[in-house]
Amino acid sequence: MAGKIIADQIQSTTAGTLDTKYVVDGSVKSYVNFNQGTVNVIRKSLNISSVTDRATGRASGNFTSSFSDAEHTATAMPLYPTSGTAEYWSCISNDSGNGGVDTSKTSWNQTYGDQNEEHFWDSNKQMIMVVGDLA
Amino acid sequence: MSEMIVNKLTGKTSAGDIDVVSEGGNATMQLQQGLAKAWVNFVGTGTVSINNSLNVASLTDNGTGDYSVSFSSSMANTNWSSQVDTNYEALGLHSIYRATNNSGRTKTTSQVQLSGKNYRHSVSDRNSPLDVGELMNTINGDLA
Repeated sequence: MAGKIIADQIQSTTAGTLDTKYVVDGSVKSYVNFNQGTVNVIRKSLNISSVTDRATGRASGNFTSSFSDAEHTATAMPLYPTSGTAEYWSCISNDSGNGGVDTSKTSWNQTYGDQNEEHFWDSNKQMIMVVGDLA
Repeated sequence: MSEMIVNKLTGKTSAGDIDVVSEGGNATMQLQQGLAKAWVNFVGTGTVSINNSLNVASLTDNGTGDYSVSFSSSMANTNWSSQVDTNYEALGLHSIYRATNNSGRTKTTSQVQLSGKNYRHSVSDRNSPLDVGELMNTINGDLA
């Protein structure tokens, strides 16, 4: 290797305006791969302190380090069943009326269901990724 | 703790290639490849507006359930990866959103097209375009 830098922090002198913004702003700030069943086992995560099973198809997660605001960008993708004809969807949801609180700078709510009214599922592999600004 | 304060990182052997050692210490990967090159959180109902973003120049409302997000710095090619999700308060209102070439607007190096539809069986307007209160989109790939 021609050059090697060993450091614990990289900081731009004019944050957010030059190339290093992609290092700071473009890094995934939190992700989690978990089993959405009754135990909500976390397989692998970054910046996640806990995941809570609120009900079938409904989970909440808490960040270890908070975001600076609630306008982070989160995407959820479940492992879909390999059989059946239902059309599934998964989304980040405020879902504050179902045992959770609004998705915020400290947490998210996620919901997974199919096309039928109020019909929810647990996926054995839910994957959530969050980018945005940490506090 | 050591701290490095810089404005720009450039690979020495190859300008666009900075390797980082993996968590396990047995592999290296390109720093650039692991970074999101654009992301946006925006309001998709009424007058659309951007809540927060990276590398996003503008947001256009093309009609119900149909948006375009333009990048400030273009991607190197059209083979970028897009993830999109929505935030719903009302669980009775289901939708699916995706990156699309909707309405003849093709996927380009400078913008992503997002479109969504109602996803419920029990409503008469199933599969109709649908606006959503909050949308979130992330782009990974190669910047130009």
